[in-house]
Amino acid sequence: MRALLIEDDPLLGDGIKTALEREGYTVDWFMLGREAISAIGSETFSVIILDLGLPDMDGMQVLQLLRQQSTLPILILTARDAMEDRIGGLDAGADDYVLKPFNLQELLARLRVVMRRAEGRASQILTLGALSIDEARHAVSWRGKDVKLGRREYALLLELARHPDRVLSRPRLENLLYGWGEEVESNAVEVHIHHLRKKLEKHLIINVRGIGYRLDSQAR
Amino acid sequence: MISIRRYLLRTLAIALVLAGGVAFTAAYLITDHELEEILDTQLSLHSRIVAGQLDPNATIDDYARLASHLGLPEYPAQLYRDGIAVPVNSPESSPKLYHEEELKLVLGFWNSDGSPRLLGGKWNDAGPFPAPLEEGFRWESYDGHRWRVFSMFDITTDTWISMGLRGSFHDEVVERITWNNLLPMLFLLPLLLWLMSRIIRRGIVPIQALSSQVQGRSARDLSEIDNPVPQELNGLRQSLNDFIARLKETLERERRFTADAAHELRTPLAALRIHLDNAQAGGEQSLQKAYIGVERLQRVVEQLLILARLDQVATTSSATIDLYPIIAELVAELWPLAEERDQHLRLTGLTRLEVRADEIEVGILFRNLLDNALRYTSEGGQVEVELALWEGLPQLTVRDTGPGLPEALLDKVTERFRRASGQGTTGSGLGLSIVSELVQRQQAILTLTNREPSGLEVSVRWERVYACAS
Repeated sequence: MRALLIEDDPLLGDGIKTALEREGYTVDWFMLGREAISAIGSETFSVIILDLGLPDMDGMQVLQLLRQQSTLPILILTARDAMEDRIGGLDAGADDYVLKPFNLQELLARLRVVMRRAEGRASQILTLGALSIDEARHAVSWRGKDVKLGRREYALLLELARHPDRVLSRPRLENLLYGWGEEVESNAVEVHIHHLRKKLEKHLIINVRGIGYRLDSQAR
Repeated sequence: MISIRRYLLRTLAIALVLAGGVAFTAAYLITDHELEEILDTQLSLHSRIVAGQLDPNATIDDYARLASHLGLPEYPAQLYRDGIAVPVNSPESSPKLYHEEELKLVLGFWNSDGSPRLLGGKWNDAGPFPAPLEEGFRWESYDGHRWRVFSMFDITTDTWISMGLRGSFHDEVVERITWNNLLPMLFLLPLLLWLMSRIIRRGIVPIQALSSQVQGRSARDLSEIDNPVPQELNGLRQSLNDFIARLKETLERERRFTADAAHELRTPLAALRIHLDNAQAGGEQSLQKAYIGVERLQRVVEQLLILARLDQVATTSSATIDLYPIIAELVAELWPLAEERDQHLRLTGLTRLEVRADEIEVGILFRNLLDNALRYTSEGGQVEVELALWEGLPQLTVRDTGPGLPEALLDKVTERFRRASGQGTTGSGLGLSIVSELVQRQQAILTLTNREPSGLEVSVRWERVYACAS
């Protein structure tokens, strides 16, 4: 899962990035709204986290511009607890808001909810044939048995499972693993997919030559 | 304050009654005077006619005949010879018909020596009426009544002639005329008062309308008062609207301040919390970052408290102080901060500079300025503090080689929670706001200018200068 974080406060941004990465997210962090808006046109994200108190543009303005360009789920962080501020944020296109200071678990839960809602799911347990993924606990089970996965393996599997039977390109999966602007080892995706196939089932993840990978939702 | 309606009604009613009273008194006095003149004219005219009719050779019999004509039943005229009353025998010619009022008008004749000759009926009741001593009008008291008397001396007949009118006749006429004037006024007065109260009530309706419009507002309604008012209330409405506008502005500023304060307090708190969460999950550097969060929070809270205290205390107790030791002390205190970031911090200029200000406030002011300069200047940069006299005025200047400020922000950074954007540094956004507050309290002037090629120069110039003691 790749998250776009727009947070002007260095200390808070650093904390959120660290926490999300520990949870298996890849985080692209921008301090200014306009940089984030230009990034959204060129990269693929699962969710946007926006702090409404940005220095270069009014947070609401950033929110509206983001909404014009993207249908991604947007979670806003705000220190303004007045009713009109909260309603204004939701009306401007945010999917949910979290009041500062927030509980980390609540932030993670709300992120899962907005992403799930964007995919049209109601439950936090993703089930495809014999595969089931509990997003809250980061637990994966195959044919009823729990499987231990590394952070990057989990991120890859979740992304594939979220778009079952659809081919996800290799660059997209690479971006997911390392985030924006970082170096990617050329065979990293292949290595992690190989590990996943070994731990689960060889035919679960199908290699589409020259393009990328897809997850077979019928695999048992 | 009593109500305008009651005040108007009361004072107008009093004025009306007073005016009525004055009019009544004036009418009484004028009638009294005019009537006296008319009656006097008649007295003198009739006296002259009588004098003209007198025969110089008239005998006592002629007077007896005149007496019988002048006499009224029960009040016969009296004829005198050598001061002694002589009975008049022929009353058959005396009138049977006469008007009651005739009793109040009497004619009398005296000899030149003052002895009575012939006196009308009423002037004999208590002895002969007093003889005239000189010609003209006079008031005379006789038999318990006042008489208005005209006297003249006729040389041809060697006779004093007096004609008198009883005072009560004159008084009655005056009273009757005055009452006739007063009565309609007495009937009109209540009607006038009632009309007045109606008019006043109608006249102050716009005041009540305006006040009920203001009264009926909710505390959050800060829209303009726009219903039409009469000219006299235009000014009041205008000032009310101006006041509402000012209130709106103040509330808006307060609202923004609260929102900004919430942001500045909650953001480091959120950062602190998430770093603690991270530390608990095993992040090694997170605990250290949490400390940074605590420090930031502490700084915001302290500055908020300073501002709150400054807002509370209206005036500063200012004495003449020397800036140099205070500034030098603070520069020394912040030296390690500069050293840590390899910044070059210098104190230049005068070593004695007296200003009229509060020592503690100057300390807070300068600490904020220097703190800002160090904070926004990159590692290895330069910060210079200078004490100088600028056109005879004491001036404190802090120059840095930081990024400076966008021109558009130069006037605005002194607003609370204003911070230049895109800075990696985290300030509370309150520092310059505190500085500007303190500068205002000391009646000094704060100037912010960008330096070439980059950097910011902040100077504080004290306007009130006092002669140096040394």
